[in-house]
Amino acid sequence: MSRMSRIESLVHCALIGTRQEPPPPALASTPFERLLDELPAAMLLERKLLLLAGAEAVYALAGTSPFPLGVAVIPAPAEKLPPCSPQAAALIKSVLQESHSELLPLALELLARHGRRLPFSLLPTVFAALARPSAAATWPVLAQVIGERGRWLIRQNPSWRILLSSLPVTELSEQELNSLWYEGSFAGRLALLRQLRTYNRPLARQWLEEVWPQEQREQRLALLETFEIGLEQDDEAFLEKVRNRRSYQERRLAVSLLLRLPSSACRRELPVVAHGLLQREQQSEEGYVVRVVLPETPPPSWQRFGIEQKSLSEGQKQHVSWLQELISLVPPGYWEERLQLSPASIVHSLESTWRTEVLAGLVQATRRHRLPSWARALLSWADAATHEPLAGAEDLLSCLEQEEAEQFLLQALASSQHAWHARWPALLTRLPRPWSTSFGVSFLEHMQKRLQELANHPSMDRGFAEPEIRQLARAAMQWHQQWEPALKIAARALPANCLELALQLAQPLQQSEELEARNIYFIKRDVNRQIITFIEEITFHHRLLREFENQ
Amino acid sequence: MELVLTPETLAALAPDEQVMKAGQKLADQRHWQSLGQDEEALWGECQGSALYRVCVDRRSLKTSCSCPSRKTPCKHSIGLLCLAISEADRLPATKAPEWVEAWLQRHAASSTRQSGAQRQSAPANGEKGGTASAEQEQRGRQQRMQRRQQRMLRGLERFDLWLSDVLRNGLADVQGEMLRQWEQEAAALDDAQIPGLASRLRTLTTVPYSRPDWPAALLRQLGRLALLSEAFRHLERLDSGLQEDVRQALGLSLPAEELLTRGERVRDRWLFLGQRLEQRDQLWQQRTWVLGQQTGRQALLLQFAPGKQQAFTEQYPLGCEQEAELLFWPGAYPQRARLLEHLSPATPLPSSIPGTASFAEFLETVARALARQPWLEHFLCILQEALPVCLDDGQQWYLRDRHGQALPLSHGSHWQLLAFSGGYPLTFIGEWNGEELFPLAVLAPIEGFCLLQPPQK
Repeated sequence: MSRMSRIESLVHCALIGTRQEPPPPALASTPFERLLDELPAAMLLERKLLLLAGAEAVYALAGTSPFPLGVAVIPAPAEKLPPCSPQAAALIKSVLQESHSELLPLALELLARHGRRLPFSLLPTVFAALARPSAAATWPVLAQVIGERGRWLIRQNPSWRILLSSLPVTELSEQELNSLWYEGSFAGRLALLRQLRTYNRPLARQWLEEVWPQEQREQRLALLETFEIGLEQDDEAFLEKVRNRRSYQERRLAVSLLLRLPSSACRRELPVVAHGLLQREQQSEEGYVVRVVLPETPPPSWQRFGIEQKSLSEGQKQHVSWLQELISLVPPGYWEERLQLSPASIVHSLESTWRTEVLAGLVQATRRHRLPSWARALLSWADAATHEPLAGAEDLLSCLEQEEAEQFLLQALASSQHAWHARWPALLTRLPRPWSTSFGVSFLEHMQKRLQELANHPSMDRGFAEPEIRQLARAAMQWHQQWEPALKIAARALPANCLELALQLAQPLQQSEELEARNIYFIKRDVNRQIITFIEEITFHHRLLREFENQ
Repeated sequence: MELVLTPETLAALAPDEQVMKAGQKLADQRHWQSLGQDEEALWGECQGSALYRVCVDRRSLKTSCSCPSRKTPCKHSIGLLCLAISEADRLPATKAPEWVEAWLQRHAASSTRQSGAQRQSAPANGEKGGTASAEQEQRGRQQRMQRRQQRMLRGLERFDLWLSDVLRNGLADVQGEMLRQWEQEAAALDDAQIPGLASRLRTLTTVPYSRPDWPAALLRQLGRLALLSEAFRHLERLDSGLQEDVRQALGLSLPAEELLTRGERVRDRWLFLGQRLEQRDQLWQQRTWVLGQQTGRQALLLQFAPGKQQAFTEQYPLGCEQEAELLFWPGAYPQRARLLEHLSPATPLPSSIPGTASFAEFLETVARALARQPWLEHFLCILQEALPVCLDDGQQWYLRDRHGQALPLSHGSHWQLLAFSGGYPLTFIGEWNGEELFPLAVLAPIEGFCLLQPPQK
């Protein structure tokens, strides 16, 4: 008799209650009849029922049997990479427990760099932490560190399947590709399309063409941007079609991509649009100025470049916007050729009326076309009156070779006259990682100097005069704007052979008597806390590297 | 002299994740001075807000630290252990300083007291007077015992009536206000000094309407409670082992002295295989499962801790084996034990451990155990060549043996277990409660022994 049916009649009266539903006369079924006979006849019926249920419970417990489960389980393929050591795993586990840790991406990066994979035990926690669109920036490194087991495991859990889009598309089955593209979240689809742009551009184009009309506008722009990856002549047909769309942003993005294809029709149209916009005007024998010559209204031919006049009444403002947009589309090399001037000469001889717009446009164009000579000229430009550098020019640092970029940053850090002196952390985030040793050392020396200055700041005991308070407020502001973000970046970007130096320099300052003795709140609390965090992060970085190197 | 704990064992020793993390941060020589070790202990002085003296006994893994933290082991102790694992050469072998010696002596003295080696202390005022007072004491104890038994019997009488009443009114109504009556009944059992029954009753309050087959499950459990009370009323009809079990199940605990004389001492190399933490009433219950390598005996080391803090007195080296003497509580099927004496330092588990080959074999041992002691609640399950199976995208989880026979895994998801398996069989270590298997650890072909995090609900 099955486990259920033996007790079924008892459960029925127990549920309803014996008051309303007296139990059947034959209360006990096999093999409990004898037990019932041994109980005193005068015993309450409910009591008998309970004891019977108790006996049945033990009987059922002792009689539990397994059941056949015939499903086929396809195991994961064998691993190709060695796992990291248990000690390294313990370190990585410790950062996984912090919800907003910035150290996890570093740990994954280091794993990938050393050709190790995550141990099996950590895979579920890492997937749980990263399987959300906000973590998409860390996805590209995943494929290198999760091993075969990770790939297998992702496929078992529906909430992790979004991570399939981080794998090379060549590893995905047709069904997986389809489900990611047609049913997945936008972040997953975008990641997948980026992959396809590397491995299978015809499919990327085909899919994009299919869904293009139904996508939302912002999403269309993001999808279109994936053309930057592996941009090729075959993309022209699709991009040309986009140039006929209603949205000027889409048109403009398509044009900026087409202009990067040397033999595109769009590129041939360029002179029609840009011709004469910037003109070199000789002023004296040696001197010249680069003048902007604007048409009254943008000609209709500009429309397919995504530039159009929206309303005449806005007048001047309208000029501002389309001039900058147009300049941002034109490959900057075009101006060099037309004007027969170097990038630096063009940048410095712009006439003042439209200078701001032209420079802003040039910054965008240089970022798109990645030209070092233009990046150099625009990065060095400073406003004559305010000494401010160009807005957004920090992005151009990535157009330079690492060594040059680092040199540029060091100059900014060292000289208070430098245009970027107050805004160097913006450049720091754009430096490739890891930094070079010489840059790392120089950075640390600057850091130590700054901290020493803070430590030597006079204490408040004696009371402060107003200029001193102002000076202190400036120092505090400077710390928050510059060194606080810089230390966060440095903890991840310092090269391996600078980590010990970083610890040597920072450790004496942690709770050092000098810093501790300041009764200035921000030095005592904020600065000290940040140094402690810096030391912790560097220590983590250092230990993990040592683990990989010793393995 | 190297300390051979794994980072995992260490993580299991730490009272919580914060302590573990803080300890890892302290595992750096710059925080330490006067580091050292010898055959018995590791020690060092850690610079925190003050200079704290930290010392760890190698065998028992008992720690001592002069910091004011209420957590044991504290972050400094974990820090010292982390350092000893990752950079053993930082702890030079040297003679222990005086403060370490003093602590070790104190610690040794207290554990000898506990193990009862000195229980035969001579009476203070002569042999005769001693016997007389001992007799008096014995009489007093018996009287107290009798009074308590009377009280318990009265409590059980009331409980049995209530239980029959519950059945008369029907289980369908057991929710809301009615469940508060169950709580009151449990409180009455506590008053009658039957805490074991009270605790069992309280756990049943979560059963109604919790799953489709709850009426049957509830009736079965109520039936087992009725059997227990019936057994106590006719205690004299049971054999002596089972009498002990019934008393313990009701919460009539054995005095420490008596346990030392009547408990069974077993020396073996014990494998520390897994641990489960559960909150019952206002109490944390920690169940540590160990297996004797030579005797093949399984033992359950139980510890309790009140309130939010899970501060347990004993620390066990999970994933390790250690020669030790265990003291089993007397009973028809001795399962619960206490670690009496550490006889060697802990070393990592071997690459294979004895276990059953099939579920049929495992369930047969369970049936045999239940035949001797029907109130057993948990069983250690070690299954060789076990394959975790995840169905319906992680909605259903099973463990399958080499013959294709399966049992359900506990409620929740078991992704870590699946990650270790990867579709290949491994040695599974878990706890069986008669209905489902709760995974505790695995012995995987490459990684060896790995503890599992509790399943996510």
